[in-house]
Amino acid sequence: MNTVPFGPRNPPEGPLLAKAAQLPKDVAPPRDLWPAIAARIAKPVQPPAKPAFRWPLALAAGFLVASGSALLTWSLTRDAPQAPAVIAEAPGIDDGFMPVNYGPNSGLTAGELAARDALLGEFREALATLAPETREAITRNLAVMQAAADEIDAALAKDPASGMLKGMLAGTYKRELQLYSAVVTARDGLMRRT
Amino acid sequence: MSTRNAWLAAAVLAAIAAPAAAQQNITKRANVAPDATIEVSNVQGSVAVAAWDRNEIELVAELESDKDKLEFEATPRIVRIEVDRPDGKYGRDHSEARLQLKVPAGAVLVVDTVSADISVAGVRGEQDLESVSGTIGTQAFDAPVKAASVSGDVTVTGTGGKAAVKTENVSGSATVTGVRGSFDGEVVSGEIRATIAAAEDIEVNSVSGDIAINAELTPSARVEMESVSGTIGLTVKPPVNADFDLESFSGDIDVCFGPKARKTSKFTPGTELSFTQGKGGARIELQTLSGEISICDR
Amino acid sequence: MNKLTMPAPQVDSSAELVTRACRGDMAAFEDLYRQHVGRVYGICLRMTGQPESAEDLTQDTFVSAWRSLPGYEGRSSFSTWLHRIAVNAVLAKRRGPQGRNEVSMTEEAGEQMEFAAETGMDEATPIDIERAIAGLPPGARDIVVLHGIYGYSHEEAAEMLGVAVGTCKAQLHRARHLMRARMGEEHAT
Repeated sequence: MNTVPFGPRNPPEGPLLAKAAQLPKDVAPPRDLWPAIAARIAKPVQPPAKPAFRWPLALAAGFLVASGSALLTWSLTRDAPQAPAVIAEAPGIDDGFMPVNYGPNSGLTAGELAARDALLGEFREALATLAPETREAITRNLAVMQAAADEIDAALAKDPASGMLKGMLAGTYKRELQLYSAVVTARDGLMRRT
Repeated sequence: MSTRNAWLAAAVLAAIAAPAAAQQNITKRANVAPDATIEVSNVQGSVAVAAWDRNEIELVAELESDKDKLEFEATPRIVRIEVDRPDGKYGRDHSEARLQLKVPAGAVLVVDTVSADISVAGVRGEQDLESVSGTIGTQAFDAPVKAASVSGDVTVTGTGGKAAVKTENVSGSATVTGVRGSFDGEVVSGEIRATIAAAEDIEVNSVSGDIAINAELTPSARVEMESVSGTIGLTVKPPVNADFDLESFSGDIDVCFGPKARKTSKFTPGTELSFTQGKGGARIELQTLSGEISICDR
Repeated sequence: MNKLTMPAPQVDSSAELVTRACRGDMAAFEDLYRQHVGRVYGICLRMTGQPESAEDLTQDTFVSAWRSLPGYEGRSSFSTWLHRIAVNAVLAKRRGPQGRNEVSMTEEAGEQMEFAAETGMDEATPIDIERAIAGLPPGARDIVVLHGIYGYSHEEAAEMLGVAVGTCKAQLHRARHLMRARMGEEHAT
């Protein structure tokens, strides 16, 4: 996966945050916490089983690194594999806007879709500030993504083990999130002092 | 006239008689480091950035609306420019803010707009340009360039330098020419057309948009392209020395050299094609769901 | 008197310690604790603003890390992985009933926080900056801590906090304005 690092957005923004970056990163606790930690570790607790990844590792890692929205919080401390959720219809949105509905073969979990839905609220707020033709372009492209999701889902029904198809579905989901994120991020220019 | 009607009439008259919003013309200057980071945020209008040979930034702003506020904060390392409209009503108000900047050629540029077009010329530092519906046009030299627009078109013109170029579009199209090195393109329904010389790393993803790449591959180049229903067209400058791995669930695979594609299995409609052309070395992996894959060396 | 020259003690590299700890070597994990506790505690302390909570959360972080070691596959650095666990611990506590006790000075004093002096940007001391950060509302504070102090990118910070990158940037924008206002700066307009 090509991950081109783009430095401009990483350095601290502004003089105040530049000073924050100079603050000491290490802060010693007032006492040694190790004895208490060792005592808790020594208690007989079974360590969690290694999580089974549903998607190819490289894809998941690349997803997180390359995704502009980085909404998929792929927890490295998951205790158990998460069973795919029954994909419920996204709640109806008064502005006629619907997120992409991924079929039963997508493997997307309720948690992942909930993370997307959390972004949707902000996206809809930002969407309302856009010109009508831009809103229409966004709606059209979501329809394109829906058609792609449907096509992939139908293909997955025939070949559920296909890594290629799962990767494409992940890519479509990622592009949906990137779209929402791009609109929300653009709204930052409009943020007022709170 | 009833009290309510009188009030409404007065309000309408007041609106009609309201004086035209006074345009603001603002010029700002500051001394900056040759590689200072310049951050610009605008909503409607335009952002035009040109490089010059001074360690100085000059901003000439024309704000059509007197409601807009221009924020300009500058230190030698970081400059932040933002057009702000306190009441946030951009959708219905078509007033524009046109920003013209001159910056040191080595500046790092970060620009965000909603519908304002972005144009950049001569800036050799890293660029991160994003817009929702504005068009983006810039040049690539030797530093990374990222240009992303949801519905606007993106054009990146290389100058022969080795730059890492990244484009992101939803319905807009991306056109990249004269670039060497690496290219990463993503599109939903728009098109991607790119010509990459001395290509080391090409990665392109599309949902339904068509991809057309013209590449001269280095011996260890890596090309990965994926599309759901868009077509993938790859023209490789001869001689071709590469390992190919092509797969499509239901689309056709057509290569003007090398063997013919075969069915993946008798149970699924897919076709695949894996082969080595010439001495191998470069790696080309293309995948589609239903889009066509076509590769040729001429 | 002859002095025996003792060989310098071998210091294992972080990677070696992680490998040994993954195999259940508690001594190696203690060494990792000693290497990383400063930053973990720093993150917990600055995100919560409460030293006592920070100690508990630091302990929780290392206990959880020990138990999760089988799942660590080295895709991110050990410190990033550990910091992610710490942030999760802070957020989990914040969501729980005890978390409602976490306050920022902003919530206590409304927007009327007074600092010792209205300092200009260049005169701001580390204490001034720490106070300004501690006085931010939780969402804004989280971003400033992870991105501003600990150098995580917007994407990394957003992922750790479970928010969108847009939210991360908006909170940072908000934090800058709040900190500036508190420190009595004026825009150079």
